[in-house]
Amino acid sequence: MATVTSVRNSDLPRHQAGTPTSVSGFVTVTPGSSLAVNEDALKNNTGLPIEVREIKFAFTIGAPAGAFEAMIGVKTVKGDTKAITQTPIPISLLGIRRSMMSESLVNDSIAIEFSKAFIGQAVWRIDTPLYLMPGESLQITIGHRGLIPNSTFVIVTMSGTVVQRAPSKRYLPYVAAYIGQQIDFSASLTVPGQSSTEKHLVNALKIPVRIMRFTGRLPAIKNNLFTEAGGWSETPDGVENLVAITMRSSNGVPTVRFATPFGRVFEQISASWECQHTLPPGGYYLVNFPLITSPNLVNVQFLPMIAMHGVREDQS
Amino acid sequence: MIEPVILADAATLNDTTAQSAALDTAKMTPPSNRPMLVRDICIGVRSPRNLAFPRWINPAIALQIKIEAGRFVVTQGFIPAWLLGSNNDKQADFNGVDSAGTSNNTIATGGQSMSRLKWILPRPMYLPPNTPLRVSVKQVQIFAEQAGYQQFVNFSARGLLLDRQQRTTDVPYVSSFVSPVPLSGPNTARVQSGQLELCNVLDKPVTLHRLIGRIAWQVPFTVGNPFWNPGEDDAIGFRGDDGSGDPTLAVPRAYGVLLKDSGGVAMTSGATSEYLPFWSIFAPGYNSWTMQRVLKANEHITAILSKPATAKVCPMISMVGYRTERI
Repeated sequence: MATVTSVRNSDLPRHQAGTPTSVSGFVTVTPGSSLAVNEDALKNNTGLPIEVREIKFAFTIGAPAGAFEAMIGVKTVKGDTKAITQTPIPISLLGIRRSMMSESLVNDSIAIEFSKAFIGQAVWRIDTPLYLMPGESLQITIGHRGLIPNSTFVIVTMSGTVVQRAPSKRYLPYVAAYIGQQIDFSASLTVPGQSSTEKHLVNALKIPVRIMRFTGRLPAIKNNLFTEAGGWSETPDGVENLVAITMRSSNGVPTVRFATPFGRVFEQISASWECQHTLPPGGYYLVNFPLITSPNLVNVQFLPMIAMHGVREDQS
Repeated sequence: MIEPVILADAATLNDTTAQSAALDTAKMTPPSNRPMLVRDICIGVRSPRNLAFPRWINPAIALQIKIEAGRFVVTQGFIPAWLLGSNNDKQADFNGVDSAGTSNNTIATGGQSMSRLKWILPRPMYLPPNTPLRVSVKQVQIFAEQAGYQQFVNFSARGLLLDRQQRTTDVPYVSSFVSPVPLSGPNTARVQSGQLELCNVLDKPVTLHRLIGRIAWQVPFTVGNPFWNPGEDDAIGFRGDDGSGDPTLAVPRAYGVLLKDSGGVAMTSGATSEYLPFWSIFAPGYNSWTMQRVLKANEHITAILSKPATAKVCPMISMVGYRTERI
């Protein structure tokens, strides 16, 4: 007598167009490690295209999304990979912040919650739907950035709708990022400036990218705890004013000409700068953090992070 | 090629030596002799690091701003800065106060309060080459108790540098009415806006997008107030109207408002009174009455406020719209 030990997607009833669908995979990452989510878990086995609208991340430790990073791509049926992220991107930088509360999960005052292992989460609502064709899978590698001490169980879910056919002209997201050096005022009142290079906020593709926005975070790291800038008053109020940036395009245009507080570039609610325009292949932006002077020594470090979001035509 | 761009500058305001300041027009001019499309404006208002005076929960209530785009008026004189945009998030202009000792991971040593405002313009505004945004900021004293403080203001206009010029531009238009006094004590009087306050003073129609209503008020802070840091001494504070769960909010909730158009026709009406609770029109957390209405030249809206209870409050209303101008 045969015993059924597992159910494969192909055993399930055939999907019909219009069916909402969510598929999940998971990994457990330890500090400093990275692991790929099982590709089969995020594979389109419906026989029809899936219009993916959201990619969601859930963490069994109540850790902010910025403590983890994701490298995302689409694996085609031929085995090629179409990159969505140029490098591993801190998960909090994927998308617009919907609420200032959403990323303030870990800090001193609720450290007790930390030990209760409640769930943190992040949702990336994709600007233009991503079409996963039959047999294609989402490739996601989750990295633990070592900013919190705990191993974490991360669930990755893509949600969308099964559709009869995908449009002939499709788009794929594109995300590039600059993760700066820690800004540390624990020993010195001044911190040297730092800059991104032409390899960070760059269109590394051979086709133009329609840039939708920049997102920025200035999380604080202290005593192995990690908080996202812009939350409640537990997060450093002064930092968004203290840390300023300038920015230039690869054309030499001063897009942020004078040192401007981080919080006025990446407005504090959405933590984003909406600026739809087209960046040609090889085009880039240089971000500079000038010398910073703090009025006080504080036992906390800040980590500047900026991402550039866009979409480009899927030419497969 | 179109590129993102930010124009930014900052100012420090005092209530005695520098009540107002104009931002640097050179910094407020799009770079590279190119035109700009302004999409939104962000304003940060911060109190000093050491508060030797009554606590501020929302320093934005005392900041007014005046904006011109080249030769076009954006605001009709100085406008309360927090009346520019609807409050798209409950915490949009709320951050509370960090005080010494309660939080080690703060840059502030004596505590400070911070307000952050974002105004997404009704329509993106085209700014011709070499045309500055002329921005002035001013500190106003609403309540007598707020004397003796500083504000640090930083301003940014975010948008795109364009590669071609336009012949027309959609310019926002904002005017406001601020209750003339912080009313206190039993009072059955009504306060009414004048014909030049919520008024289209231009010579062309303005398409209204919304009315925004907010209330600044002075409250005694006590332990147990959900937005007050435990451990602080009880003190007088000033705040905006975004504190759900706070029992003292009964006052602004009960504040009655009646709106009439230029013809004297009531725009608001209730079952038992033509006055509606302020917050039933300007919902907390959103503070906005969205509308799509054309206000002809010289037409105005009249706001009549009735004050039912004892409190030090200062209601304010603005109307936000735009018109198209030929360059």
